[in-house]
Amino acid sequence: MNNHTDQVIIKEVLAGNTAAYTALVNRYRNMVFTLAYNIILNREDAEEVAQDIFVKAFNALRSFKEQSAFSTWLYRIVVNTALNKKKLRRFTTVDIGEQITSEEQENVYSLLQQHISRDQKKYIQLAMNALRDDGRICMTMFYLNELPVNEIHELTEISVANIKVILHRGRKHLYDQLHGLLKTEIKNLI
Amino acid sequence: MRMQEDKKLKELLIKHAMEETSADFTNTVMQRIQSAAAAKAYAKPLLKQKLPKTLIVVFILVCIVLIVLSIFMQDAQLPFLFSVKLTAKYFSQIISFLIAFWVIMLINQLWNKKKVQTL
Repeated sequence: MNNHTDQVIIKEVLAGNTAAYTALVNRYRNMVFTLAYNIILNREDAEEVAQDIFVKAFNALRSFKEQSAFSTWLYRIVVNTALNKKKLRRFTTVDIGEQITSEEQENVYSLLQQHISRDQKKYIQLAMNALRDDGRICMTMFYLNELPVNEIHELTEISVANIKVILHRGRKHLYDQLHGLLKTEIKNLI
Repeated sequence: MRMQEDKKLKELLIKHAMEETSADFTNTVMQRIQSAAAAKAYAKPLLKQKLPKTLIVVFILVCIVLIVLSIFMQDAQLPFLFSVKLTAKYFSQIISFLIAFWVIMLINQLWNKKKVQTL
């Protein structure tokens, strides 16, 4: 069952095989939890919300029309439930009018590699948490949930152009945060 | 170059920024689903779904038949005397009962609605 496509599993579940839903939960639990956590920023609440999301998705499975991917449909439930938990109606964004300068188009990854040699997980998690809400959520959706920009636009109602800028800034801020964290760490060691 | 950088950043984030649920996450979700399904299976409705609709349709039909009959029937005297003399006290009691009944009904409905919303 674990190798079956989402559609096959959904058909099984709708045919009455409730246990088949386990495969979907196992497949998406970390991604759902990661997205919920990056919206709520509290592990206990995010875990509770992630459980609620899977129960909601199970109860609403008949309404899933297969016009979009199951993951997109599921992430929509995640966004709505997590925002509701955070008592927000929608994402708040600041209009980004400024142009991306060539200076900003540096190779972020090579800098990351250069600066992070140990405790990568700790630094990256700290840096992610330090990002602005919209940057952190868009980065999570784009890199971790592997959603294309147009689907992120559908889920967040942020314009495609803004998402691209937010992602670019997110990458840069992630690097800045890591750079700052590492400098502090080095100072502490000295 | 940019694509390559993006790919590497993605790998790095998947490796280090992906959060993990607790070990018993799936079991908890499945237990919740199964207990909800079990509760649903045992909670049979007190009235069959079609019964209220059937009652309304029958009531409307009877009303129509009586109205039609009343047009065609001539004034006729009933074979028995049907007269009940009620004092004003009875009427005030009936009105009080109806008011109390609908007030309690309304409060009950609002209370139930509130309870459902908070669940």
